[in-house]
Amino acid sequence: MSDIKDTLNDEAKEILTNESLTKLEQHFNEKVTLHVEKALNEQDEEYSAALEKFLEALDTDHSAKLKKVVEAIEVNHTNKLKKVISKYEGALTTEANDFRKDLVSKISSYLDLYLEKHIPQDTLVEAVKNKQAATMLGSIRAALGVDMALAKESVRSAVIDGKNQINEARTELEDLKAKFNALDQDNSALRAKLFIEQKTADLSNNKKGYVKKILTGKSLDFIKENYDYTISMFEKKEEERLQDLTEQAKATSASSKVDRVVLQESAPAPVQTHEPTNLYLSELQKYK
Amino acid sequence: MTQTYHNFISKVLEENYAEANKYLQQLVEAKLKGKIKKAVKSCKMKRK
Repeated sequence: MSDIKDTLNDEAKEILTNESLTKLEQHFNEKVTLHVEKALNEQDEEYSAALEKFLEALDTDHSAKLKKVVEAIEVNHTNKLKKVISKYEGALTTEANDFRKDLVSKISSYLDLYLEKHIPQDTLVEAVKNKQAATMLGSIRAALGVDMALAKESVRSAVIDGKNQINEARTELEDLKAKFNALDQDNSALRAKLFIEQKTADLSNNKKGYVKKILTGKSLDFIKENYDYTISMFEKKEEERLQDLTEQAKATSASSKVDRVVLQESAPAPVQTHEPTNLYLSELQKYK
Repeated sequence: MTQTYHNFISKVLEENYAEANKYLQQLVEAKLKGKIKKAVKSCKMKRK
């Protein structure tokens, strides 16, 4: 392509000078540069917009595909995990139970072996036989020993005499126990009575009577434990009685101040006796 | 009896050896009783 200056120089070399041609060329070149830049910018914008659209479409497509891939992977992994869970659950329930049973039987067998080694069954059988024999011998010895002793006359009479003595001693012991109990009871009663007397010696008659009424017939321990309490009870009752009396007296004095209606009771009129009848009666009295 | 075994194993696993020893004693006692019963039975059978 030929330069603009050469073109113009060919076409209008007679009209335009060299300077004007140079200026025209400059202006033309500037304009061309501007237009080219503008066109390039427009092209850039157009291409960038198209590229953005293309990228967006590509992103959407890729994200959709990626989602599908992720879902497929999740489903696949979930199924695998479910299988793993079911397998391990089975292992935990059935296989663990089997393992436990196996372990128990092994421990049992081990204990059997250990005991068999240290305490053999033959030894145990022998021990049982010895024990049975010893028991049998003991019972035989006891039975035979008593029978042999009783078989002799002198031993028998001595045994009977001893038995009688034991029975007598037992009877005597029972009597003595009964007497001792009776004496013990009497002693306790006397001690209790003495205790009450000593304690109530300085008390007033009312208090003494109350204490005796409450504590007579009780054991000494009971009296010792409850004496102070009985005295306190009496004092409290006495105090309450006095308070009641005071209140009653106050109430009586208050009621005496009220105006009362005075009733004048007229004496029965003397019977008018007939003089001759009285005389007659007096005469009759003489002959009674 | 099985429960005693289970208790023994669980106590061993917990490293509670004092409790495990108690269960082991119970197991050994039961085993010994069984052996003694067996011996007594065999003696009675022989006597008959």
